[in-house]
Amino acid sequence: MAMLKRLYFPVLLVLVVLISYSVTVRSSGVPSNSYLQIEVAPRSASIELDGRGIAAGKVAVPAANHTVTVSKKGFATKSQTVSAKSGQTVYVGIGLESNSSSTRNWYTEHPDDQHLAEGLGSHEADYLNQLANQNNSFLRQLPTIYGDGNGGIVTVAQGVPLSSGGLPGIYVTAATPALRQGVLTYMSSRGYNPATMDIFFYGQNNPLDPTVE
Amino acid sequence: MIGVTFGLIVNYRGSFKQVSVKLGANLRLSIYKDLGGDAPYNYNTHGSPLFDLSTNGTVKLKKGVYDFVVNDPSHQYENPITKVVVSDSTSSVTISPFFTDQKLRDLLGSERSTIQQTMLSQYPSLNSFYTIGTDQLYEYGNWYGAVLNPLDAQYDKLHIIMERQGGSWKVEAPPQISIGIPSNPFVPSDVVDSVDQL
Repeated sequence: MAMLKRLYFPVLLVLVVLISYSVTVRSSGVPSNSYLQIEVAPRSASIELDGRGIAAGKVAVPAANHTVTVSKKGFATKSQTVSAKSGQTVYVGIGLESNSSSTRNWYTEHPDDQHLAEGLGSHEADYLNQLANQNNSFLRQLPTIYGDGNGGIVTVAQGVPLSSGGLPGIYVTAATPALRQGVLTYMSSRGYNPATMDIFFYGQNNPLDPTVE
Repeated sequence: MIGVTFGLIVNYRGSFKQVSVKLGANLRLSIYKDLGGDAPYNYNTHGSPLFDLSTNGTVKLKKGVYDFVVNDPSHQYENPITKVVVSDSTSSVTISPFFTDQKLRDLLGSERSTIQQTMLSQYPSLNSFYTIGTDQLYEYGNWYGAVLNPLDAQYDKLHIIMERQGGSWKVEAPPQISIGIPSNPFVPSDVVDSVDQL
C-alpha cells in the first residue's frame, strides 16, 4: 500500500503532462484532406514527414507545405519540400545516392532498388496521368469524334502533356474557328472548365503566333 | 498537484504561436479575436484590437480564430477582412488584399492606352487581324487580360494576358484560343480562368 502511495504522484504527473501535450499538439483541428504519394529508393531507407517517421505509400496530410526527408546509412540524405493543396495528391519520389564505399554498389547488388530508382521519374508522370484520369471524368471520355453536320469531323483526344505539370494535353482537330469554339462550349456546358486543361488546336490559323499553322 | 500545475503550464505555453505578419505596401492592419457565431466577421463587436500593425511584424497569438482587418476608409480592397486560424502549423500570414472591381475599372481607364500600345508594339500586325475587345485588370491592377476579336471569320477569337513588372507591361500569355492554367504556372489561376472566359 505504501508503495502504491509513493508511486501515485509520479504516475499522476506523467499522465497529466502526457494528456496536456496530447491536447496541445492535437488541438489545431486542421483537417488532413490532402495526400502525399511517397516512393523512395532504396526501399529500406528511413522516411520522415515533417520530422515524423513514416512508411512509403499514400499519407494523409493537412493542406500545407510538407518536408519529406529520406536517409540511410551510407547514402546522402535528401529532403524535398512540397506544397499540398486542399484535396490534392502530390507525388514525392526520392532516390538516394551512395556517399560511402560500403554502399557504392548497392543498386547493382539490389536490382529491385535499382529498378525503382531508375523508374522514379517515369513513375511520377504515370502517377500524374493516372490521377488526372481519376479526377477528370472529361479525360475518361476521350477520344471522342463527332461530325460537324457538314461532312467535317471534330476529334478531341488526350495525349502527351503540353506543360511540365504532367497533366495529359487535350488535342483538338477541328477545321473552323466556329468548330473550335464549339469544343470549348461543349466542355463548359458539361461542367468541365477548359481553363483547367492544356488544349492544343490543330488546324488553327493564328497570325500572331508564327509557330502555329 | 504539482503535476497538474506543471501540465497546465505546459499546455498554456504551447497554446501560443509567434506569427509573422507580412503586410502589403501602405496597409494598416488591426487584429481582433474572432468571436465565432454564424456571422462571417464580428470583430467590430469586440472593442479594441489586440494588435495594430503598419509594417511587417511578429505577434504572439493564442491558437484560435482571428479577424485581420485592413484599414480601408475608401473601400478600395476586395476583402479587407481575413479570418485567420492560428494553429500548430501557423508561422506566417500574408495580408495583401486585392483591389475591388470598381477600383480596377478606374485604374484601367488610365492604364488602357499604355497597355494596348505595348501590346501593339509586340504584335504590330494585330490591328490588321483583330480588334481588342473586352478587357480587365486583376488583383492589384498588375495583371491585364483581353479578348482579341477577329476581323475575319477565318481566324479564332484569342485571349491574351499581360503583367506590369517594374512599371512597364509585358506579355505573359501570348494570344491563343484557350490560355489554360497548367501551361501558365506563373500567372494566377484565377486570372487565367477569368481571361479565358472573357
